[in-house]
Amino acid sequence: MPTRIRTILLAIGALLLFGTPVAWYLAQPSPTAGELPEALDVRPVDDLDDEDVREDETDGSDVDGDDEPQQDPADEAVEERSPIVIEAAPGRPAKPVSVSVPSIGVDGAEVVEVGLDANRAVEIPDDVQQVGWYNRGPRPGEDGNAFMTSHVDSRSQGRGVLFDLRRSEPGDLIEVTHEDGSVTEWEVVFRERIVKGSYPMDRVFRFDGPPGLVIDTCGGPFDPNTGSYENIDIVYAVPLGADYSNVDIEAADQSG
Amino acid sequence: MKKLLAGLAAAALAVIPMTAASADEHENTDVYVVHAFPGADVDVYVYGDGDDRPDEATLANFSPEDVAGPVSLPAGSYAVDITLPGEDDALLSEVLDVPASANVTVVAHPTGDGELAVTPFVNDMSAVECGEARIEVRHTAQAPEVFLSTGDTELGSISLGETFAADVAAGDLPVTVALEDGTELIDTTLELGDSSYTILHAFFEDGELSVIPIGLELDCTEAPDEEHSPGEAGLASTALPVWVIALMAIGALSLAAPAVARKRN
Repeated sequence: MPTRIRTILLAIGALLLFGTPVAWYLAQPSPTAGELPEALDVRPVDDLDDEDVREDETDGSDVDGDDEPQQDPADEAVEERSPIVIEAAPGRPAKPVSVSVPSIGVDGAEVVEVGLDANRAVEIPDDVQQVGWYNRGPRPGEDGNAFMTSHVDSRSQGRGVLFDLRRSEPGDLIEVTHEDGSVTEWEVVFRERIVKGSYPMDRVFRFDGPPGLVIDTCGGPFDPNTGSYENIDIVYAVPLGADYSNVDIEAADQSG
Repeated sequence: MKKLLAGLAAAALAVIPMTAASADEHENTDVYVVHAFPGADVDVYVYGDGDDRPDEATLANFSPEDVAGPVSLPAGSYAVDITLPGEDDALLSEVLDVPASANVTVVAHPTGDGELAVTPFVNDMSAVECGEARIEVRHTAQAPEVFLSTGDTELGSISLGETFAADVAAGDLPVTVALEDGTELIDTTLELGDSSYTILHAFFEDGELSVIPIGLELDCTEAPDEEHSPGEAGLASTALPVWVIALMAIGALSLAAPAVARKRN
């Protein structure tokens, strides 16, 4: 064998043997990215300061009906009627119907409502092209985290629509289209990879405090023996432009 | 309880001309109308403020204890005229500023002097916790302050024009409405479904206090008990994939080839 060919073979061999795993490893997204604002890393109590919150859902009697009519009973002329003003807190945002994450190729994925299954875990749509929105939690834009999930893949259907969720990075845009045609924009702030069995329930299923959007899907190494992934990748987003760094969380410190 | 449901059954649907600004539907407000003024059927006209009153009443022969709606209205100013059936002269003429994307009940009721008035109440459609129900009582009767209690627990007191609301466990809820001196006016048990929203409007006629109910459904919130597992095929596995191992094997063969070749030579 000529020296030249031998050299080429050696070079190719070394490149493949050592280069392939290194290149593959470098191409993998890191298991976590970004940082979750402290204000979102707790389970706030009800009296959390809601000043930054767009949808101020009150929970009781306060808003209701003390709107006294501002009428003037003696006003026979009728010309100058002062109107009865109905003061209502903003209504609820409409339910989500589709979601886009342009950076990872999610383009208008259909969002369907999911609840709890027999084990009281969040249902996941059978169709891996659909994203499930948990309808026993907040709607996107309401106080707390709106939660969405989808199978990362399926034996019969292949890759799911959230296949590349693990590649999303802080700063990525998420667009949610609502039932009424309105669109809300969100910004990824944090991605984490958790080990199955230690899911951060309190952090994700947060029903009070500043609005957030949490999307997850399976990730990490796949164990063919159990037929399941070892991890779940969770992406946290906040309303685009929202700054939660100064949200007063003193009231929430007691929980977590 | 029978009367509770009778009011609801009598609900009539109204069609209100959409003369106000044409907003997107998602900004519309759902409006219910409750007739809590005893003793008089009326016609109700609702139209854009500044427009001429239409010939046809929005709600014709609207009877005491009737509930109409919900009607989806764009935000804006609406004229509300209430007349005796078929007559032109308004018993009451008001302008109502309807906000966007809310849920409202407008109640026609007597004032303390027995005059006709309309008062809007905002319906709180926010979600309750699963397993709970929302109950709301509105004082819309020509009656003194009343005191609400359930069992031995006092809930609160409301005067004419005021409302009381609370989220309570779903199921049977005994409710007592009494005067300050303890005279019981209503003693009943409400059946509250999971995530239901029961709104009671006080109605006083012939010396008897009753209520006009509206029943709505709310969403409920609860956290899951178990974690979910979204994936099953391994396509997204971050373990060393087969193709990487294959390429490494080819690489190893390439390295070994020259040595093998030399040996053969």
